[in-house]
Amino acid sequence: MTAQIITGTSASEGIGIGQIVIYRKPKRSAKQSTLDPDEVKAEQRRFQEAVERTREQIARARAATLERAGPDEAAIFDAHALFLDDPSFIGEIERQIEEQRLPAGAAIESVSTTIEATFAELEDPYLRARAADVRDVADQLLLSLERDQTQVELADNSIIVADELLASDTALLDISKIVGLASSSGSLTSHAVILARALGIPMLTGLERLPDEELAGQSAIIDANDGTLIINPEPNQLASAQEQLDARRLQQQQIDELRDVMATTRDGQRIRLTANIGSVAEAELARDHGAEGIGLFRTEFLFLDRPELPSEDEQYEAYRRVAEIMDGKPVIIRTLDAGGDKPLAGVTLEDERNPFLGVRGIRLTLAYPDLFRTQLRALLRAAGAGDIWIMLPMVATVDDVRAARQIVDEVARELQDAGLDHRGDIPIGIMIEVPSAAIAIDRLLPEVDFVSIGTNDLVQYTLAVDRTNAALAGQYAELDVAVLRLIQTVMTAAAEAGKHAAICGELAGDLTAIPTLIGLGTRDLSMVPARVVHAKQLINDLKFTEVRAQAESRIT
Amino acid sequence: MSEGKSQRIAKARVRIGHPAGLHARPAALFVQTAASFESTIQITNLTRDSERQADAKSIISLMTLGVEHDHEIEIDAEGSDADAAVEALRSLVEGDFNGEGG
Repeated sequence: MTAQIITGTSASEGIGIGQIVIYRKPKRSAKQSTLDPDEVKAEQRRFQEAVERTREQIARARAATLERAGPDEAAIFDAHALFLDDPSFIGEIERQIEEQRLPAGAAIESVSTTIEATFAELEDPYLRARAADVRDVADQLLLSLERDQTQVELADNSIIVADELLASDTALLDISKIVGLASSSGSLTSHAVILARALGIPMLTGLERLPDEELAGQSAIIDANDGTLIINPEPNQLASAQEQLDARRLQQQQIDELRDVMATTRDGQRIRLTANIGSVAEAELARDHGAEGIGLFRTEFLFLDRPELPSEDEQYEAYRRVAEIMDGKPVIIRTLDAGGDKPLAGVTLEDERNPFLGVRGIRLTLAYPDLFRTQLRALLRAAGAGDIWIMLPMVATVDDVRAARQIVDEVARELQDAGLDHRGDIPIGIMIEVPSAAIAIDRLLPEVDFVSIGTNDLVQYTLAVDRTNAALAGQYAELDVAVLRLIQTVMTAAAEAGKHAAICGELAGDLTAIPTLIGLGTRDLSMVPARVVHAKQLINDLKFTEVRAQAESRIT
Repeated sequence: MSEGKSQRIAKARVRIGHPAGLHARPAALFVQTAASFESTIQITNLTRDSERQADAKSIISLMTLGVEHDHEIEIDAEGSDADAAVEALRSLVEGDFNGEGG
């Protein structure tokens, strides 16, 4: 038999080798006949039994998830259980069965569709997403009407393929026997996906089609890195998948071994490795990969692609969560770094002829002080919960820092007067990404508590090369002598002033660049979480005296 | 509300101090508390839309009001235990939902 490949979207990374199990749900019935008056009583009973069976399933799913994933993931099912007591849901379905003589299935369908539509109209994205919860419970009710769903018996190494996978499905299946999940529908933010990620199970969504029924039980490879489901793979495909699985296991082993090891060169130079993150979830990744802190927490995810600006409380919650996850390790949070090239709710900028030289970063937040104050209030309050530092982006001059500091002081006084928990003496630092800031670093250092070099912008401004311009790809040279000299200037001046200095641009995680950066005096590098282990391995093999000599020769 | 029982009306206004607003656990506690009373209980989110009411015993209905931290809500109860219902819900909110979720 020849191999069959079905493509999909990667929802949870990883590779699995096993057998196909096709998991079908009863089709939702579209026909809407009415019951005879003497059938109504029996239909009401049938529905009530389905509600009770669903209640038991939810309790089982909750217990299973609590054990396998944790309380945050299990909380989904508390909300689901409450839906089963809800008069506007269950009560309304019962009313439609009795008064409109609808069959239970049609009544569930009609009521859940109406509620889903109501949620879909809400402004709050969190509430909008709750439509999926209503849908999940409605689907379980429909399924319970048909049969008593108990845990499906699975063989070892099962790859579950379904038209749709609900959080309740993922929780009820015996996870120890599952090596992969694939569904034709399902969004990337569904609870099933969140669970699959929490449990480390490879998952594909949006399969282009379901495999034919007779392929059940056939051997298969799920490659959620590549986005493919291969049925009846060729021997060479199997061998390659096995190789990748082994490599991944080895990598995980290395991560486990190196997590608590500090990066130190062979001749004893300690290098601090931290992580760059852009969401709360990534903080867990940073912690699991052994990062010694967060060197750059980008806050744009809270602000962009939404109809209104985030509230102080929403921001506070995100900052506090990250500080909590990092458990006392320093977390450097960058204030909003947006500009005229990206729309932002409530902020209207004149069309700029050159947005990269326009109102962006600290310039934008200083131009919209209310927006800045809200973020600073959230940061100062959250700093009560952990070691949070504030970093200002796009600083070009001393005046930028002074203007920002003045607002920080005002906000701290407001919080003080209001008697709110906060930290008034929070460390304040700046990104060094504008060449003027690197050149006049000696003037800036007395005004700040720390600095961190953003190499992406520093390279593009220093060389006057737009890094997104394909025609100039060859001229975007991150290790150009001019850039390296600026980095050395900053590192030397910071060391003399006794101020903490780091690099948090992409260059900091580039394994080919790290020896040079260390040679120039860098002691602190911040990179994507998954790179931390590789950087440790590399650094633990370096000799500082050698890389210093090599770096010197590159800049003279 | 069966006949013969005294029908009472009670109301209260209260501000939400819990940072999560009336979502997640606070919403669950609120609904469970409301459901333990016989009275009909309606909630209005005065901060967002004073025209729209939601059934306090329905988590779905309550969630659509979008009650956030610092919003002011009105609790309107009607029935034999209206006073006790309003009092219980008010103290739940004012105590920042620290009570047991019965």
